[in-house]
Parts: sequence; structure tokens; C-alpha cells
Amino acid sequence: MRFPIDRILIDEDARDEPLTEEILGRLPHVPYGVGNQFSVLCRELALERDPLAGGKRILRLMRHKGAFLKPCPGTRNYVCCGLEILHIGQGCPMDCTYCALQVYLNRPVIEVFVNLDDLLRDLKESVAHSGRGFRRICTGEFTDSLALEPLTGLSARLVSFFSYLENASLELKTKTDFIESLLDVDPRGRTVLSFSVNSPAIAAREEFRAAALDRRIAAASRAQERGYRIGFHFDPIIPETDWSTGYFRTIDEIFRRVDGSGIAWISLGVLRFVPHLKDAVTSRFGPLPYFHDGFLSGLDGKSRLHSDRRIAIYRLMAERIRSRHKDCRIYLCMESPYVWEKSLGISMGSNDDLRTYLDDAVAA
Amino acid sequence: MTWLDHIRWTDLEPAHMDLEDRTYYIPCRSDLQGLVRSIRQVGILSPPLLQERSPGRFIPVIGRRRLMAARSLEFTRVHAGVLPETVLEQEGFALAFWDNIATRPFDVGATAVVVRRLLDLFPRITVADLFLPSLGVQPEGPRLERLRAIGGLEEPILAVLSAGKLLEKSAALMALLKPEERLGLLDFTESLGLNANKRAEVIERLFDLSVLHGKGVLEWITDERISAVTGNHELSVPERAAKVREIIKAWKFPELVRSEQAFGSWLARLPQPDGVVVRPSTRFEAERCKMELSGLSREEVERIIRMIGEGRPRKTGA
Repeated sequence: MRFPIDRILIDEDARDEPLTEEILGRLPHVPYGVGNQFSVLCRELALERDPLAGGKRILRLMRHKGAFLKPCPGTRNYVCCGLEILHIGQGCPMDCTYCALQVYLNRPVIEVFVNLDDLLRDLKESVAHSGRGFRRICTGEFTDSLALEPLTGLSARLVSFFSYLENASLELKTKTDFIESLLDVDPRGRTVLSFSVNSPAIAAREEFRAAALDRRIAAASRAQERGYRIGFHFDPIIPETDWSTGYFRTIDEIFRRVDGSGIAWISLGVLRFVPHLKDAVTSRFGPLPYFHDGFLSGLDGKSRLHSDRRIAIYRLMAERIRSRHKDCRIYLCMESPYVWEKSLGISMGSNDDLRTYLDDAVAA
Repeated sequence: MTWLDHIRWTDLEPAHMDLEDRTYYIPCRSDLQGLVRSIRQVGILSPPLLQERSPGRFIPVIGRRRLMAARSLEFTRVHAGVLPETVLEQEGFALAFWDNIATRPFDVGATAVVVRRLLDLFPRITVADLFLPSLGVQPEGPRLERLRAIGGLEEPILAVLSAGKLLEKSAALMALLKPEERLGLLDFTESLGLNANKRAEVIERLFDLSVLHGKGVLEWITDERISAVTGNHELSVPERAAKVREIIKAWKFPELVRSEQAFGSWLARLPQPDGVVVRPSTRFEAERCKMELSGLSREEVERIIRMIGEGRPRKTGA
């Protein structure tokens, strides 16, 4: 286990779940408690100067009582990709300075939903009976898809589950290299293993406890050899001075080690954030220069750089990627049709257009 | 608390009181003159409480302003309670807190000073459970730490904050600056006569520029472009303020200002009938523009529409 876990809390109704037993078996030296300690602990954490710092070392095993499959929150007034989120848990042991979860989640601990039978039943019913065409489903929105994989083995089970589905694909998004459990499972083309990447400097400086960039790319290469489609997410792109040098280095390294024809997609997203994230980040890490750039309030109320600047960044990134693999499927996360057209030369007028564009990468 | 059993009632000379001492300080910035007039008429009805910190040296616990008023009235003796030195600062501050909170609301500056002192003196959980509810401050979330930081600001900044001329968020940013920077920034914004919101805008933008470029706030506000405006006394203060804000905006949002200028130049080349306003998309997020017509009557709107219609270029080949 790579990430430090100091304590495990088990909800009373989660103690008999098989996954609870498995996790406890893999963390034999970590103290745990069962029952109603959670609210007391949350209160203690909430009073700390930085509740997340402590919360990221506490694992809560619990049953998820709501729907496991939900649409990605996306954003209004920009083109979104129609991804659906499979809730395997929430919170993340890594600590990226820019992470939106710092203000999105209302509990600071890492939560694992251990009622796997419910999860798989929900998933099966939803996918089998929806009649909603092809479904792209991802686990990496409110947590990292693989951060707890050495403890849970959940993603390997999901890869196996999706390998027999005709109308859905799974995307695992990670900043780790915890792919061992996946390597012996044949995804049968139904899983995209995606790595969040960044410039080497940003990855080293802003992504605490994430795997080193070269380890992520090495993991992508290994997974590709085992039949996985690969994705990369340059998100957030942080345009510091001379930003392109570092990002180009990452792009070049990706295409040096990963076969471009096996890349399902590469997404690009320049840093944008809900305004109060800046305050939260400043209170946790002190003023970080990149949050103090010329951010304007976008159409969705999020802080965004001026469209001219985003367009220039996307254009350069796309040119570099296409110079390495001209047919690479590049998409923009939460951008306007105007920015799509100006930067990539692609007409992307609606969410449906983008959904189709990405479905085509995995539906075949 | 054990203090009640140990109070000694006596008459003290105001000269022996250290009224500048901040051990039990809870700010109150309302005018002292009303209290002075009251005490001149009827004396001190409710005796203050002090603590003897060393033989013959007394610091105020409760009633600092009554003592200030008494001193200004040149009283030679004041009847007061004296707490022994052994009473803990925690107990003394709690006394001051409960005495003050029961009689007046705290402004944000006072709240910040009190929060900071409480967090210095008590465990966080005690502050959360015992004191914060009375202050109306949530124990969870970033505000508590923000107030703690603000509570350490210099008196001139706290005074402006308490007067409502500085927003809490601006004070929080100032707390992240060096003392000479924030006091310089305070003077700078005071000299421009900015209201709290415009002051907040200027402070935030200068703070952002400072962090982004690693160049101190004082360097920005003494830049020659700024100095040329602030030193131009042919301009009124509001005109100077407007020009300074424009300069800072152009530093902070260069692309936006370029877009606005380009849009303005494009628009200036077009005929601009009365009653027609053309706007760009919000913050230039798209190429689309919005054209608004307004008229005092239906007839006027009809006239504008006809005028625009007549000027419409014909399609090729039509």
C-alpha cells in the first residue's frame, strides 16, 4: 500500500461486507473501529486548520445508499462529453493543489463503498435496460480510479464486468501506476485506462503523492501491451511562463513509449475552477502563483482564462500531439463551440456531437 | 471560575493603570465622548475590573473605556475591582468576552481580534463550543482561520475594517502581505477615495499581480504609470481612481482589455443610430454579439428597426 492510512472507520452496516474483510486483511496493522465514530471524527477534523490533511489518512468503509451511476456534473453553457460516473467511493489520498474536490466534497475522509453487490446490480440493470445507446462510464470523478486498487481490487472486477458488455465502456482515470491487478484481465476493448498527466514541473510540484510522471507513462505502456486502450488527460493545463516546453516534453514522452494508434483519446482542459477554490487552496498551501493569473468569470461562473489564451494553448497542444500522431482523437473538456472551432478546427456544436465523437473511439 | 471570590474592591489612581495593555483587549471603536459626558454627569455606575500584574501596575479586564473616560476627565481615584495576579489569562479574557458580548454587537474587526485571542488562549474545541456561537462564527470552514489572520493586522487596517470601508476578504488578503506592503496599500487605496467594493477590486488585483509575477505590491503601486496618475492634481480624486483602476485592470487582464479595445474600434467604424447598443458576448467567450434596441415608444422602436432594415446589405444575386 503506497498511501499512508492511519485509521479505518467502518460503518455498522458495512462490517459484514466481503470487501470490508478484504481491505482489513490488507491493512492488518492499521487500527480500525466499527460503529458510530464517524460523526465525532468529522467534527474533530472539521475544527482542524486543514481538515483534508488529516482526512486523507482516514479510510471510511461504508455502504452507498444512493444510485451508483450518475451523470457527470459537467457544466452549463459549455460542451460536455456525456460521461457517466460510477460511484465507487469519494475522496483521494493524493493531494493535488488544484484539485476541485477540495471544495466539492463535504467530508474530508476517503470513503470506499463496500456494497459491491449493490454496485454491480445497479450497473447491470442500468446498462442492460436503459435503451440509451452507448454508455461511457468512468470511476475517476470523485476519487482516483486506481488509488485504492491495491486494497480493493475493484477496478479489475469492473474491467472484467465491462469486457462482456456490448453497449458500454469503462474509463479508469488515475494519477497512479497501480495497474498490477488489471494486467491479467482481458478488457476486450471495453476499458480505457486513462492517465492524468501534466508538465513534468507541475506533476512534481503540484501533485503530492501522485506517481511520478514517467511511472504513469510507463504504466500506460505496460497496460497497452496487455490490450488496454489508453487515454491521457492534460487537465488542468497550467500555463505558467514557458509552459509549452514542459507540456511538449510530456507529449513527446507519451508518444515515445505508447503506440499512438492505441490511444483512445487525449483530453485538454486549461485550469478552471469555482471561485472559492482559490481561497481554499490559499488557506491550505499559501498563495500559489498560477491561481492568481488573469482568471475571468466564465459563462458557468467558473474562473477561466480569456478565450484567446485558451485557444492559443489548445492550438499549440493539438499541433504537437498531431505532429506525433496525426489522427489522434483530441477533445476539450468543458469548452465552448467557439473555442473548439478556433483551436482544433472541429465543429462541436452540442453535447451530442461530443458524445458521438467519443463514443466512436470505443463503441467499435 | 474562581475569580469572584478573589476580587478586592478598592480605589485606584488612573495613573497606575496601563490602559494600553492588550492582554484582555476587546476592541470597541465607537465614540468615547458619549461615555465621557455620561461619567461627567453621574460618575462610573458600574465599577471596572483590573488585574494587578505586578505591585502597583494594573491592567484593565473589564471597563477599559470607562477608565479611559475617567482618565480624560482627570479623575484622581476610581473605585474598581482588582483580580489577583494568579487569575489566569484564560479566565480574565473569558470575563472580558462575556461582559462585552452581552452588551454590544462586535463588528468584524473586533470579532477578528477576539477570535485570534481566543485561539491563542483556548483549545480549538473550547473556542468552537463555548465562544463562537455567541460571535456568530461557524467553527468549520475557512472563515475561522481567516478571522484569526485578520485579527493580527495593524490597528489602522482594523479601524478601516470596523468602519465598513474594507471588506473582510480584502483584509484577509492584506494579512498575507508584509506589514509595510499592506499599510502602503491601505494608504494608496485611501488616497483614491475608493469605496469598499472598489477597494476590494484594487486590492485583489494587485495581490494577484504580486503573487503571479513575484513582484511586491509596493512596486506595482509606485509604477511610473500609476505615479503619473496619482501625481496629476489636475484630475479629481474620482478621475484618478478611475484611471488607476483601468491601468490595474490592463495589467491583470491584458487579453480582455485588448478584446474590449478591438471591439470598440470595430464598433466605432459602424453607424450607430440612437437607441441601438451592440455588446460582445460575455467576456468574449464567443464571437457572437448582442444588439439591443431601446425606444421611448413603439413608434420609435419601429423607426429604428426600419432604419436598420433599410441599411441591410442585400444578398448577393438577390
